[in-house]
Amino acid sequence: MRPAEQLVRTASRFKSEVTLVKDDIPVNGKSILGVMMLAAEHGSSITVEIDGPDETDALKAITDMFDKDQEP
Amino acid sequence: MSDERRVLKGIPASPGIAIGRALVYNRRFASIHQRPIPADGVEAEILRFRTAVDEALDDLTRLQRRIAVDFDQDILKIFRAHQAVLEDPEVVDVTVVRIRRERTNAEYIFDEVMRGWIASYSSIENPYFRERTADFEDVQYRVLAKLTGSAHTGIEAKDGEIVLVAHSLSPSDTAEIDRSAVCGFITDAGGQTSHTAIVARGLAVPAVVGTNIATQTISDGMMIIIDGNTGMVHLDPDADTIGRYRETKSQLSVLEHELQELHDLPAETRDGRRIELSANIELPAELEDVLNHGADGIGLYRTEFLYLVGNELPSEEDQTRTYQRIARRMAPNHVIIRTLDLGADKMPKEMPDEANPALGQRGIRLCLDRPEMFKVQLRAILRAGAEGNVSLMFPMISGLQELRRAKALFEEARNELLEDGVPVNQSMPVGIMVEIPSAALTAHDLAKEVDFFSIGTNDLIQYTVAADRGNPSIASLYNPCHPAVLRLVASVIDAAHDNDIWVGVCGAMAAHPLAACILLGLGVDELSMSPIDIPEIKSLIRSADYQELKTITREALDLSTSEEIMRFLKPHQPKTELDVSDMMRI
Repeated sequence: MRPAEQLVRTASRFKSEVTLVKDDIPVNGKSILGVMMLAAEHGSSITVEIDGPDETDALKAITDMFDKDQEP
Repeated sequence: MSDERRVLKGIPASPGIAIGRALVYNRRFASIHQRPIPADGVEAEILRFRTAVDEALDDLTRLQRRIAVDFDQDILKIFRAHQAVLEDPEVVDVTVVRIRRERTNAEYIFDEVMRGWIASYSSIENPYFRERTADFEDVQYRVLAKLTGSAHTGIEAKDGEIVLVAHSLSPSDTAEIDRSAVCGFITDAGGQTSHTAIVARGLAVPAVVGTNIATQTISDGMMIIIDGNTGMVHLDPDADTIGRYRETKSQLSVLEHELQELHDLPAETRDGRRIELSANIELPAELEDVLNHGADGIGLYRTEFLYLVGNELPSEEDQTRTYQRIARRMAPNHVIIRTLDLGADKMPKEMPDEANPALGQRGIRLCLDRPEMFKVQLRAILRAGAEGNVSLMFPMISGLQELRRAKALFEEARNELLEDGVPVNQSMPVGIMVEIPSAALTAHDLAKEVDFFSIGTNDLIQYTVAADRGNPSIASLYNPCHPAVLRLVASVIDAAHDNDIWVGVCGAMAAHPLAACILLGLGVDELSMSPIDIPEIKSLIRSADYQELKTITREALDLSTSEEIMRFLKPHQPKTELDVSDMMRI
């Protein structure tokens, strides 16, 4: 699975809103179209904002995903 | 009325003759109008939208099931990507929210939402992402057709006599086509590697692409003849022309039948010299063709297609699966997988600026420059080798150092797999394409470090005479019988045999009757060509006398012009009962 798809799938498991911000542009972390647009240039840094009832769990799941699965 | 107006010339994309009535397929449809929705109608409007999306999703699932049998994983992936768009909250939820807030009809809002995405992606610099917009348009169309009730029935026809005419055909369109109804394709756009061409060849349906004006010139119900061998399309032909083509068509099928009888016979000369006849393929879908035409194996499997479909590099798993399918299907016959032979200009995620791509970073050069990407493919080939008769072949090798670097990566990949306990073929044969004059001239050195050669005559000729065969003004320079070319080919064959390895030819020369005789006489062990050319060349070889060809081709090498060579050799070309080339010319 590609990182963008994986991120969307992980984010979609939670109730919280997940927002990715790159270069001041926010996108919905549950939207494959949005995340893919950010992914158009890889290797740059993004900020993840999570807001909602299960935000702690969501944050953990997402950071775990980034740490573990560094698919080339 | 002059005859010229009744004929269109396009690019022949899939051979054969089709005679039928035109159906012009136009996916543009009536414009979307904005319409207010009363407050108490909003929920019903949302339900209508959700139903349309669900139906579109169902259609996509159905399509995937339908094509799973005949097509590649690659085309399935496109439909999965379409489904993902229809499951995206920024598409579906956003549309719902806006219908409610703006009290406006679903098609108008959805159209705006999709246009927004298309505009955003259109502005991305990376061409790979930009091309996604075609997928979005496909999805947009699919849902809008549901909402507006303009039946996206695709193409429906009754009697197998429909010639489909379109500007271009998307993967959705081609997959929806009822194959029993359509006997040919014509498109305005596209080249020999377009989706239409690939699908048409896979379905063995004649096709002509790149006509530019077919949809403007042809109207529904018009009588059409497609000649997929020459690229000619006859509009509203007179009775004579139809009669002539019907005649040819039936002759072709008789011929096809006769060639079929050759299927199980070996490619062996009258005096007992046997060579291998293999097939060049690009898609797993072509395997049927390969088996039907009696090939001894696959002499060249081009892997580029995997890298050109979809927006990302193909994963190790995807590649392994595809290679395994082919290897299993062909076993125990061999499959020679050629590693990626793309120019940097075709690679995803980059736009290099090369003044001279034919002499630029392509093939093995590109792969050696991206060892991580290359190793993904090497691993997949090694894994596929665990359960079939698979060999690996490097393209565009220019000398020994390059070969050694490629082999070092290959060994690295093998050792990594072995360490991970993944089953691989530990003694997989490794060969190279000999297609650059520097490789041909050092063939003696290269032969000591590989298991086989396959001479890629298309590029070898182009690089030897410095003429692009696609350029009509210098096409006459591109001549397989140029003494320089033949002497080079002969020296490569000798170098291989001196070092006890086998040598084949996988360029267009292998399928040209006179050239095939020359190659046979020079001693090649294998000829690899399009599956459809195999029966004719097999019949030729079976009528030939190897000792005679051997003697005269060696004599021909001393002649000094291609004209003399051809004049000298032509009388020795064996007569076969089946002369396909004459039949194809009308």
